[in-house]
Amino acid sequence: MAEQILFYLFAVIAIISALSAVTRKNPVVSAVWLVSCMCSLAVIYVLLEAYFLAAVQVIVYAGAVLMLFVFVIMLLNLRTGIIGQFRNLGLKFMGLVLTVIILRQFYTAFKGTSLILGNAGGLEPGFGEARAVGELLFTRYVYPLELISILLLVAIVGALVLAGKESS
Amino acid sequence: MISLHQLLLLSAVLFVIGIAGFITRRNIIIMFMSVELMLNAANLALISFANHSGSMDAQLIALFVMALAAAEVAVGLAIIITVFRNKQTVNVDELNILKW
Repeated sequence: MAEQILFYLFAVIAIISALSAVTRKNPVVSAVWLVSCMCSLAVIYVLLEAYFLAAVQVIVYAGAVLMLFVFVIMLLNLRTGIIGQFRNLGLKFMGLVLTVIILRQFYTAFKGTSLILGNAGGLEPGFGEARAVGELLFTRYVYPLELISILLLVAIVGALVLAGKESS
Repeated sequence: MISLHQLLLLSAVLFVIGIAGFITRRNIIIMFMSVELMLNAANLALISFANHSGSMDAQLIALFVMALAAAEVAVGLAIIITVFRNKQTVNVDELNILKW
């Protein structure tokens, strides 16, 4: 029961934060609302027994990614006139219609799935903790892990090449 | 108990908010944030299915999605900085030199 109440509370916070994040004019305010959305999603991950991923969500998304966004907004030094404009009214209307249609389709697709979470026999002890994640990561998923590390290296080099000061 | 239905619905709502932001905003940074929101919605669905099926594999996929998102943000923001340096704008309607 407590789980249910917590889920509803943080689901509502996540939806309100997401809505505010995409409608605010100032990008910095948007970023802060997005941090709130990520943190409430982390709480929902804890309710789903994904403890390690909840920690990663807070550290990587709320900590690193959104911080990077705020830094870039600071670097760009946007003038007040250009920071927040919506597209013209026709496109806005089209966007709303499209999203309502997509949401309706999602709803029809999910309508049959009223399944209760958790396996019939219950989850095994240690599910979603750092130890279980680490064991899987270094046994079955060691090849994707190495690929991801190369990808991150490529991203660092690419970001430096693109945004670094050109030596002229 | 939380049902899978509610979780998938929350995930769908967040995804749709992300799409709406991507379509209606013209500030390239906020469009980028909307993409992050959509990735998070996908992660929520993956973690719900991990809990439902009782196997950890979906959680690992969500972890890889997070790593990918971090790499994507680094490169994407670098591109945004380069574009701003050359064009002095972050409005996507003014970035139309590739448009025929």
